[in-house]
Amino acid sequence: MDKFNGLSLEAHRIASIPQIENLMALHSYYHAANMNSNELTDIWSKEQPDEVSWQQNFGFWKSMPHMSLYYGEGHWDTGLALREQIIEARPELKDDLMQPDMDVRRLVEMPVHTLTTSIVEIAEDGMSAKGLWYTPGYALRRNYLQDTASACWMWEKYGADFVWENGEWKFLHIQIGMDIMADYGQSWAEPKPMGAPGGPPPAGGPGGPPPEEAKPAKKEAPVGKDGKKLKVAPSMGGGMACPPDGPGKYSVYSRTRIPTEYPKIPEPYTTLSETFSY
Amino acid sequence: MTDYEALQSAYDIYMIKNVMGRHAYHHALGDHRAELDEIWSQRDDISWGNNMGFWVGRETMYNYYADAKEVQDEATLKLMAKANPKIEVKKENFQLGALLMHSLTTPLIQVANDGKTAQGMWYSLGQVTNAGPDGKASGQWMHERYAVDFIKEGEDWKIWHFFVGTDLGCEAGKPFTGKFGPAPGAEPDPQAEENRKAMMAIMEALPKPTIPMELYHCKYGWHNEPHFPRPYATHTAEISYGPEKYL
Repeated sequence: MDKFNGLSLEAHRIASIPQIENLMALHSYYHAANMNSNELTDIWSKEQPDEVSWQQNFGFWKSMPHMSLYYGEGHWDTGLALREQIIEARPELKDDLMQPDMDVRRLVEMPVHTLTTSIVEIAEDGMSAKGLWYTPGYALRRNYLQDTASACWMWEKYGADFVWENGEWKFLHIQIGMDIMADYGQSWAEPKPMGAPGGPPPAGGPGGPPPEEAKPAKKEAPVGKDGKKLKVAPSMGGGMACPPDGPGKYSVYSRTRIPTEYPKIPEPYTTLSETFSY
Repeated sequence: MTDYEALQSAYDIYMIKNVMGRHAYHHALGDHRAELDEIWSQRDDISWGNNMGFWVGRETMYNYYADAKEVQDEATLKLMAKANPKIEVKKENFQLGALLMHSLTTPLIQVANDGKTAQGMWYSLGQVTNAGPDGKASGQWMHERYAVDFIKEGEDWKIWHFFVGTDLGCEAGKPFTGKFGPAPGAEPDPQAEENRKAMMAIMEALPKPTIPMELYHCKYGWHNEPHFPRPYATHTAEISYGPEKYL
């Protein structure tokens, strides 16, 4: 393990801030491309597989095996099944969809969580860091079977712990607090449930099952142009591949919700064991 | 990495963010000639890429990015003046009723190990608002991904290749459908259709790409290109965000 002291420690702490910003951006871009499994392999802690965790409105997953099941896996299977359905319903797309560089994971949806409003605190010992971001994001979803598209806003807070491992920063914990989920053209103050008429469509794929407070009103099998129902891909529509290890601690906006400090605002600190954890 | 190199890299990243911020504010003002003069490389192989291809070379960039914008603004103003004679067609009134901002979020910036170039990616949640010939204004969401090569000239970072991939465009306050034109079942609006055709004619008169190609789309989700910036030793054609990668 690297140890820093004196001016080297200060240089390391200064240089670490843009490195942490880059790491967080890489998370966003991997996620937008549905490369969640690549993300877990490339930028999450390898030395603390039992300690890593992921928390969002509707649950808490601890350890890399659980995170992998919940967040990392399933996009390939979903994408392959979806591609099969699309080709069946719309054979004119077959040439495009069978191109060698077609990454079927991306057919599921395009969740873009942009990063703004950052606070990054590097521990005094230079071995960990904390960050908080606001993410005005959106998800673009296409129903290839019916040749339609939709987009919904997803505005969230990200709080994350990072650790310095073998000369690189890695994720250790992340907390995600979703404030807003509303279809474009709809007010977030009066959101409609996902899947309900006028509401955002159901979340697709294992990037996250629908939050408890916004579950689809009724799950319908996709319908092809000929009106026939088609089979549903394995994890489309929010099949939960791994039950949470604990409850979530945040909810989307409602008229009865009071603003809370979640995730917590980072403060200067000495070492990770002496402060709060995300 | 030495302490000096670590600090230099952090400083470079901060300076590069500032350059991109200057781009966003110049662009919001339509001040493109000043932008090209102030924050773009003096090289002849500067380029602008978007979903339709690349515009390459300094003179091309002046024609496409700077001068054509003024031509477009003037043509739009003439249409507005035709509908409302109180509007005077003069340079000071260019961009009447316009408001745009391509905000910069999610910066991912890698400075080459040799310190001579850098690659950056941003996601822009933007809006483009314009008044139309009928006097009505409309706002569009415009969500885009930027991938930019920078080159150090003297002490300053400059834009070398700029790529913009548009993911989503839709009218503010309306659902996104992925389709252009009136919503299915909407009442025909001959005036709106005439305005749309007039605006399309203006857009079609813009200089065509030096290298036309379908570079980017999101019809199948996140596009493979441009690649995420990753640590690199020195700039090569294979990793360029300019046209050299495709030539």
